Amino acid sequence: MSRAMRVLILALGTQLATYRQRFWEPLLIIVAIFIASAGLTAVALINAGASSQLKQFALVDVPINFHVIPRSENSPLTRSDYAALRRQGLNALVAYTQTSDRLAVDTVPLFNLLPAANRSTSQQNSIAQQAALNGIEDINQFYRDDVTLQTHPLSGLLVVGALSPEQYKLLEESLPAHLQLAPFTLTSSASNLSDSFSLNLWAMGALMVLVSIFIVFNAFNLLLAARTPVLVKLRQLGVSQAILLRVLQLEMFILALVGAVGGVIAGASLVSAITPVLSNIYRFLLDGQFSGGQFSTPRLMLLAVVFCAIAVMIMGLLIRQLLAHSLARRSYLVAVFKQRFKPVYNFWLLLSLAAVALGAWLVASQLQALLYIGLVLIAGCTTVVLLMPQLMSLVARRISTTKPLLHWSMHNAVSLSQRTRLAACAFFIALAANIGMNVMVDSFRQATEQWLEQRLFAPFYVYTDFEGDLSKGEAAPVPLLARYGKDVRVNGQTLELRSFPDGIEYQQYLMLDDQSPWAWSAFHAQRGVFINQQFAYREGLSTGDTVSLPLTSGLQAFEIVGVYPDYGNPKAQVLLPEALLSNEYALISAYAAFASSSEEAALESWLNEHSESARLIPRSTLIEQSMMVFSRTFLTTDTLNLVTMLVAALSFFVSITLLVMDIKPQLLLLRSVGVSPFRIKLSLFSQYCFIAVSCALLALPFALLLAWLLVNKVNRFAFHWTYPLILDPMIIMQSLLIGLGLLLLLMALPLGRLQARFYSQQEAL
Amino acid sequence: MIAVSDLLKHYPDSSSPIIDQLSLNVIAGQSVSIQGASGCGKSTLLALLAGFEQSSGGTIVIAGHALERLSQEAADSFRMHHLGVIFQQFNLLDCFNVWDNVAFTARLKGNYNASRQQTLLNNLGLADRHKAPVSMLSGGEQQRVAIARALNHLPDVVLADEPTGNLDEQTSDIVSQLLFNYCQEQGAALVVVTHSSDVARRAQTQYRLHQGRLAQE
Repeated sequence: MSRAMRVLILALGTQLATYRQRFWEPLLIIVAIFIASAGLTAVALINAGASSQLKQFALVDVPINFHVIPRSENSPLTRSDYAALRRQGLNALVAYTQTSDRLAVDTVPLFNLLPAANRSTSQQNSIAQQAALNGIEDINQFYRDDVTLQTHPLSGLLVVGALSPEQYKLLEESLPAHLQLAPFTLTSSASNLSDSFSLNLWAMGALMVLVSIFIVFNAFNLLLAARTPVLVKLRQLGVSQAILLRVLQLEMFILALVGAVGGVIAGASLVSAITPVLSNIYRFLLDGQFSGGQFSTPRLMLLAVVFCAIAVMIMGLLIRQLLAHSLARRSYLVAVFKQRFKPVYNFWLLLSLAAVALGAWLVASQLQALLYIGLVLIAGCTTVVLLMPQLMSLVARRISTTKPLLHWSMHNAVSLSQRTRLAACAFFIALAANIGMNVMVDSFRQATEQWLEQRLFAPFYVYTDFEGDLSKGEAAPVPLLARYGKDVRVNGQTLELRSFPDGIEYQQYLMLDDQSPWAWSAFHAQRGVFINQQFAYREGLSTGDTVSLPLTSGLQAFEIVGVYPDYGNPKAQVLLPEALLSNEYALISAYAAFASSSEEAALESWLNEHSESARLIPRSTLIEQSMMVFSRTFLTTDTLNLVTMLVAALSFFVSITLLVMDIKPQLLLLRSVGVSPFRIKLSLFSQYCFIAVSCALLALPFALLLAWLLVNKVNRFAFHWTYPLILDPMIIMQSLLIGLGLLLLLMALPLGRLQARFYSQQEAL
Repeated sequence: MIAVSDLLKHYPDSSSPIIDQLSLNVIAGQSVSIQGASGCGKSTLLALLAGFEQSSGGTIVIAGHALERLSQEAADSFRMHHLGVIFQQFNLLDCFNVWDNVAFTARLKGNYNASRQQTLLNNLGLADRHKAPVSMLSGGEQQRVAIARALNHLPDVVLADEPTGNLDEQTSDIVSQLLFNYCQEQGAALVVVTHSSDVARRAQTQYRLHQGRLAQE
């Protein structure tokens, strides 16, 4: 055995020997990495499982209103069910199946269901191309090799095309008991909410990665601090820096590997265990499927190993410099923990923060917005690292020395905060993101609710497939107001033309962001139109500009007299006077029905006589349903957000616990001078509170900047809509308190175990 | 001031008691040194006197308080008001500078006096270091801060575990002289555990701990 190898083994053995006395240190480091890894895996798997159902949205161009699905997972839909139904003449049914990353449909019947005029080879190719682009496979390609109906049952049968009431009834009666007909409700607006949902999932995943990076580096930093005394001694005994570096890296890699691989298994097991629950939630909430357990765990493990190796290499580069100074422990500690930040740097730091805040106005694309969010988080972390101990120190200095225990507590908290900066960063990111996203979602919720309340002016609305105009012809028992519509192509994009009632009394119901002084007179004179934010932002249009619309009479120019919000609609839309559009409408999207409660039954009866597919929905139900879809959309992201915060809080807790072990001699001194265990616990808890609250207070301005960016930049460029940023103190406080509560609860837990150690004679004297 | 009678300390993992029927009396202003081989129980004895450890038998009465009868709260209060402890490992408060470390016990007890503390620091050679963070001090300086902290709140009893273990010969001489003189002047009982014969000789009564019992030298 070579001398270098012998020294390496000896040095490693020495490091590992410390585990006998201080086994908590490596254990907690493993726990920190385990938590990060498990959290990241869980978020990645939930993200992948949730994203899979989004692929259904790719089919929305084909008219699909219903699908047949099994009533429970225990009685799946079989190929013989599919064949039997088709044999009964139900040819509009098309089988589809779905996994976390694949979606397959029976493309041959789908193609045959297209109108004969469109059924050409080119159309077939077009569908195939569209399907391929969306990652949709043919079902026969899907069921190959080891993929069978037993391993992956059919997910459902799409009902292609509009169903007449008779067809609907026939289909419902033809279904076996274990199958049900359910609305395929992923309409265009839901599809756009799904985009928002998808973006949120993506953001959550990115956030978790960022938090995990800080957690892993924090764990390594703690390990390095714990190893310092042994490193110093080994250096003093002549062990070279290179050997020590290798020993440290080896130890870090072993610990990281154990934590990361264990975390991946735990995260995958957790998601697998809750897959039935998530699956039910997704089926109920979004008519989608969740299949998170099928993600490749070995691939995740490999990624975890690679990630750990990279992190260890980066840490190696950082500690190479530090090892050069580690011959005297004190100087090393001073170098690592007692770095004094020159006051002049504060000026530059604050200037940079101001520049980051002001620079947000300049963001001009979705990519820039997302990158800027990263920049804001990094600026926040820099502030936590450099400014938080200084600010805490300012507060600590104001504590009177006549309260010596409190005085010590605050000063010790400052000292602890300097050593837990990386963990604090992870918590900071999670908390800032949580507050920012909650403020954004709350603003969106309030804006949507207000918009719906204002826009839905009639007490009832009628939705029907009826091709004629129910508001004309045979008189309805109550006044019906048709919403005429026509979709046109402008600059290669679909543009919705919709009618708005002509009467002056309806003006109050159109919420406008911006309007010209002569808006309504120009609108009624058929010279002006209102456009939605989507159209305005996408095409760079604003009030006063002109837009040319292809009407029956030819291309007609209109002045844009106002811009209105149209939340949830992915498409550009123009509101025209009813009188203008009623002459050339292609569809009626809905009728506003001005019925009182007592007239509801009469109207319903009249509607049933004229159109069996008509549905009469009260205004309150529409608002309620819309808000329910809204809540469902953000349910998963809220959960992921909380998971991220819990993971960050756990990491912070691990750091603090580890560092509190270092101050045991100080705690023993406190006991020796008569400070009771309860007061010591109270003192420690007050220190945790001081650190956590300082971190939370620093997170607040960054969270609000994030919320502003999400509302005014990300939404603006991703969905082409914005809404007012509403800073509801209750929502902010609630988000803050949940984050702080989680952290403080975790930190308070080990305090109960402290008392026994105070009396340890070996430690006391 | 200190009355120990038939003190017994038995650790569960040891076949024989580390303190065996030990008796000791120290009056106010008296200094006592205890020497002995490593592992003979010197630090255990100090831990028992300070109330850090529970005895297995016998009685300890300090300043009129029978330690074994004191509740936890009463024991805490007793230590705060009557005891000054000098730890072998100093146990300084890292986040404080020298001044705040020394002031800490007096502030807790409520008898903090800046001029008295300044005199104490002057006497211990720490006058020009009072603003320094304790992590920047040498081992000897940290030892002197620990001593100053144990004396600053005017305790009735001072328990010192190797108080000059980290000091050079000259400083050791000065510091131990100060420690013994201070206790005598203040009427405080002093119990010093030490390996140093020079320090031990300064005590009015010198003991050697052997097989759990004290033998006067």
